[in-house]
Amino acid sequence: MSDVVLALNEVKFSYQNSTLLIDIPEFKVKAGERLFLYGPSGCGKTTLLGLISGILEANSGEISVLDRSYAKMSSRSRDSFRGDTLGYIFQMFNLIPYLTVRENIALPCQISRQRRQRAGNLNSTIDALAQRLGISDLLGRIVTELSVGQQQRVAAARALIGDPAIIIADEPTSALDWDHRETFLKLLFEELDRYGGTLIFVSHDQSLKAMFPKVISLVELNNAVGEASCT
Amino acid sequence: MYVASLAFKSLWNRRLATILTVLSISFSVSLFLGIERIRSGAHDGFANTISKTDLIVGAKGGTIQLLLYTVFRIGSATDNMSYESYQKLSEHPEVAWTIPYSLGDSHRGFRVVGTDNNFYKHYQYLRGRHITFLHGREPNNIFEVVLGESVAKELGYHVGDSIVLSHGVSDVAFQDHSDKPFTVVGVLKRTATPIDRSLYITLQGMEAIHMDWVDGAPPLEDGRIRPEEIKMDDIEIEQITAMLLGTKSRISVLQLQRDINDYENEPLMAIIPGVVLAELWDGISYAENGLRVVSFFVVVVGLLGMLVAIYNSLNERRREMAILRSLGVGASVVFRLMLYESMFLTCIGALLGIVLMYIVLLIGQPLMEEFFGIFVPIRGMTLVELMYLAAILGFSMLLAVIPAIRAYRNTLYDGLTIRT
Repeated sequence: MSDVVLALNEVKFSYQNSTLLIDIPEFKVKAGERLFLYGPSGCGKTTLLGLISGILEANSGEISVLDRSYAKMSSRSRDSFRGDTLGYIFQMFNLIPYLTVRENIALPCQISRQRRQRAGNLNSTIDALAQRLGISDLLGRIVTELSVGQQQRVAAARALIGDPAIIIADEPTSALDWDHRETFLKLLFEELDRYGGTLIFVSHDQSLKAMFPKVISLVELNNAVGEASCT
Repeated sequence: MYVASLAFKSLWNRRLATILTVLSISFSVSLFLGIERIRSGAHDGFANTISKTDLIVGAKGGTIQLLLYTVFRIGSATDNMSYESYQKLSEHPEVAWTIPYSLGDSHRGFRVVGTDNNFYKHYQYLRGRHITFLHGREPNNIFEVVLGESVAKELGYHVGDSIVLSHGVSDVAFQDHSDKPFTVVGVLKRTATPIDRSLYITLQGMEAIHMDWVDGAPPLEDGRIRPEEIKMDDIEIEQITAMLLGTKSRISVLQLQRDINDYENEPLMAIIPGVVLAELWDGISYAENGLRVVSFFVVVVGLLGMLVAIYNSLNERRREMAILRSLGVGASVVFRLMLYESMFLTCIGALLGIVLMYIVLLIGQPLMEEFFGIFVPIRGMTLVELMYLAAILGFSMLLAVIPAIRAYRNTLYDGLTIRT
């Protein structure tokens, strides 16, 4: 197995007969990398994440995660593969409103058998993870009672549980104030270091990129959009 | 397994809508099952308007007509039978008891029945109940009358009141027997059968008010016989309208019926009430089917309510679906999730509906029996009822496919985009 966890090769995507949204000749992410993907709106950010997570299918080219090519997989097996290998953090409203904090964090391990196995004893793993992220006392709470900052930490815990190879964070800090952004990122980095996870951090907020060893701009990566169309 | 658990927790999160939906399903299910039971209770009640009477005998004519005017006080006889034949039948070795009926007069729209004390002793309804008195006693004298419960209540009569009977059974009777008033001596207890809607006098009383009539016309002033002049023992009864009889052994009923139908002295007819009641019920069973159709649509409306509730929840749950997808849940699982939700709602609604039906039956049973004469037995679920429930569940699954498809398509369209 190579140390490349995500590889895009000559990937093109457009919705039926409309304009090309994604044209990426080459994009590789190595294991353990922390990548800041700069993506102003209108650059195909959402589409690219849909492709990486296997929700959308490329019109041509190859996308492979952990050396497995999506092109050879059915949409159903892409779904379960996503559950096994990807942790996803949204900008906000990450949590299922009718589950408790603990149930939210445990959910990926109920959906993916692999993640459940990697998590070991689920309850003690959640306890330890919550301890490190500073959300121990929230575990029994209803998610709607949490502040945005607390919600994002719970979302991070849920993305991290069961050690998925890649964490995709889609503007996870934009709803937080500055101090919280930095703390949040540091916690995320620490957790990833524990098991050697890879982070793809997508944001239009350039102020955070100093914290990342590697920065790629979607404007340069995606040939389908010009400098002008991205804002 | 987690899908079912998610479905349950999601429903619980929307408890108000969930509870309302479940209640509406349970109401419709209990209404459906309840109506089904009341319907069969009404059928039994109808069949129980008269009970333990083996034969009804009258002049030859229509069988249903005979049943209608003797049991339901509807219509009238075309011919009478002789009192002599009545007495002969009473003495028949197979006959245990007889009740004579002499009909044809009325009081303010209620039928007057001339009978004797056998009526109070032997008439039975609703699985063998006897007639009992609310007030007063049986009529022993010519100008004494006993009222059915509805007659007394609707006309406000009490024991001791004096009333005048009318000739004929039309609502606007043109000839009153005003020269021979009757005194109320008793009121019967409610039976919830046509018994309540009649007045009861003696056969002699019936004879007495027509004694001075000539060829069906009221007497002229000088031909009138004053009531004081009439003595009970002087009256000879010549005719009655019909009779009820009970046999000593039910085995002899068919033979007795044949004998009466072949009776040589007079053209008579005997009917078995149960048989003719069943014929009559068949004739009006379209009403029964109508009731069934209505209760079926009540269930459809209940399930449509569920459909609307689930469908309405879909938009606010798109975010939830996107989150689930990001966690590796396929669109087909989302489809299943929606089906499970409908299944939960329908199953719980149906179970609650059954419980509700039994509660209502327990509370309502005595009331329905008292006010409508409908006895609804409390028994376990029948196979037919279970099949109805299975059909309801199947139908709800069919309806549930609609929001499930919508959710499935939303999910595919949204992908991981969180729409709020």
